[in-house]
Amino acid sequence: MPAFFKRTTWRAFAYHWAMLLLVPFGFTYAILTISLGASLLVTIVGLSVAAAMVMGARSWGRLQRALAGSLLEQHVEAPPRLVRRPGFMGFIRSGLGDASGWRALAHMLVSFATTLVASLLSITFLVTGLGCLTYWYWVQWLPLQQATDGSWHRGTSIGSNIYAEGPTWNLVYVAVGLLFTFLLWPAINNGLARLQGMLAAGLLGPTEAQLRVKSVEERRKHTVQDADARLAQIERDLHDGTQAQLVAIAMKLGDARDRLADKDIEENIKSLLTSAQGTASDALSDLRSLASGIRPAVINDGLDTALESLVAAAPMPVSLTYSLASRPGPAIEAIAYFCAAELLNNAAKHSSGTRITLKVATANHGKLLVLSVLDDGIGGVDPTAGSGITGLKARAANVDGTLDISSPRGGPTEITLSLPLS
Amino acid sequence: MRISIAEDSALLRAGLTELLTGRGHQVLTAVDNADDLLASVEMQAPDVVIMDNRMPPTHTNEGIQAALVLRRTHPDVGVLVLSQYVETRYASALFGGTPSGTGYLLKDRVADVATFIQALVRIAAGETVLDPEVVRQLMSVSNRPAGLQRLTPREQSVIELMAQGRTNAGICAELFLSAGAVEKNITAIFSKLGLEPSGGDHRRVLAVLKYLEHA
Repeated sequence: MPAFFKRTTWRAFAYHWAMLLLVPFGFTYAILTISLGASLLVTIVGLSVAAAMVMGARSWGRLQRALAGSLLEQHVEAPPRLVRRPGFMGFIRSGLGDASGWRALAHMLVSFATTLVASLLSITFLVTGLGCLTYWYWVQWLPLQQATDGSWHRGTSIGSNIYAEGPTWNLVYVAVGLLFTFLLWPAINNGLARLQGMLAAGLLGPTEAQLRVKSVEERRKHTVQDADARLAQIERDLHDGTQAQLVAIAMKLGDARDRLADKDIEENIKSLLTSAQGTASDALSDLRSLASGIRPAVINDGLDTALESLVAAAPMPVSLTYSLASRPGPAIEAIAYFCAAELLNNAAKHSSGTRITLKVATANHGKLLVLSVLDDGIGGVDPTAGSGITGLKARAANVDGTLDISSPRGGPTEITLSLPLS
Repeated sequence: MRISIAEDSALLRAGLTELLTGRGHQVLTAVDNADDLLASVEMQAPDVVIMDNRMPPTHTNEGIQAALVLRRTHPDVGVLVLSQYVETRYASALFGGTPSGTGYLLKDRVADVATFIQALVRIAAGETVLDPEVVRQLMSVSNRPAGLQRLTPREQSVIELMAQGRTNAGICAELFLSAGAVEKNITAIFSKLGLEPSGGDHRRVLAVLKYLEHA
């Protein structure tokens, strides 16, 4: 089947038209972003406007990818989701640093020029072809023209004194029309559409670096989840195996001791049993703290339950506010729990305060878990001193989380852990 | 006593059965999950059931859940929940309703056989048994309601022992106090918690409940 009759050709033609209608808006948006951003750059408002507009440009990318996907069957992968940092300055930083937004802006500018050329070329070739094909019919309405020799002709003039009239010329026109309509136009139309699709893929998809980061992030996520699952398994095995065995030993020793209590046997045998039982009990309580240091079983029942027990056991009064509607993933719960435990411990040990407030909530429209520990102590927490805070930061960073410290000398100290919820 | 056991470790299940039958108690059922135990209670009406908290399928708090069901459906059957860890929420869930005939002990406590058996007897008799560790957590600084915060350290140790179900004589022995001194401390606790005199033991339970409900 000639390309002229193929669906893909006409869809590509529709694409050119759609682009022709869209690019003026994109171009205006890009120019507006640049001029507004540049003129207001010195003010904080200008920066935030520019940041919002760069982020907004991502919508153009979304629209363009959908268009290329549905009309050109060119699948363009979406760039990584924008991770907005908390706070106003975070908003500006993430907006102005959004590479995908900037690339979408570049696409608005470049595609404005390429679309004008591509769609106009395509339309011109099609109209030329169809016009030539039907020349024999519409030639009758052409005005009469007088040649230099005074004769009258009806037909387009090709060079001086040559007029395209008569059946031969009609045939020539039909031939040219066939050439344009069935050979040149489809080739030009489809070729240009493919180039436009490549432009969209190049500017609106993820970059090599982003793809690599994405795959590294995926792998790291699996590693973190794997490690968490393995820790949970180890804790379970300890509980089901060693702990149960130790309880059984302690119980049997206790039983024996109890039965021998009123029997007439040597006192040092009895004390042997007592000390064996004591050792078993000590081993049990050591194992319990070891297992809960690995991964407390209570986390399986929810972060809220686990934090309640943590707060209850804290050496200082802690008020807990927990307002998550749904449960985070197990790895996130474990990280949040261990950070809370360490931070409560630190506050109780070093802050000289009297009260701690522990809050767990979501931020950024449910995309972030925010856990904050606030104490009314003396402040002056040095984030670089000691491995505690550094360790927590590393733990949070494992899942792209952050740990922010606000601790002016004289207090109060507020430490905020943000973890992504996905 | 007629006792039923739900414990998912076969070793402990066998150990507990041996321990209890060795002391002349009757173990009616020993199963490895809560549902089978609940089903067996329908048929056998034990005096007391011993329940591991962490059992299949979720390995979190099956024991507490089953205990709550049992309190509702068979209030006359005593329930002792054994747990590897003490969790405040579980304890307040367990004792939030009717705490009589209920117990919550760390698993390690079975090693002290005499006290363990005594706890079972007390639970079967409708008393409340709390692990000292549970009491410590419930009484911790974060949970203490206003009235309890005004208690002196001595009064605190007294109410802790009361919560564990000790009698006045037991408290005397534990704290090396005279009967009169214990009596004086308990009266002080009642007045600090705002409990009007209305018949001895009733106020005792109320005082214990007072901090349990604040947990």
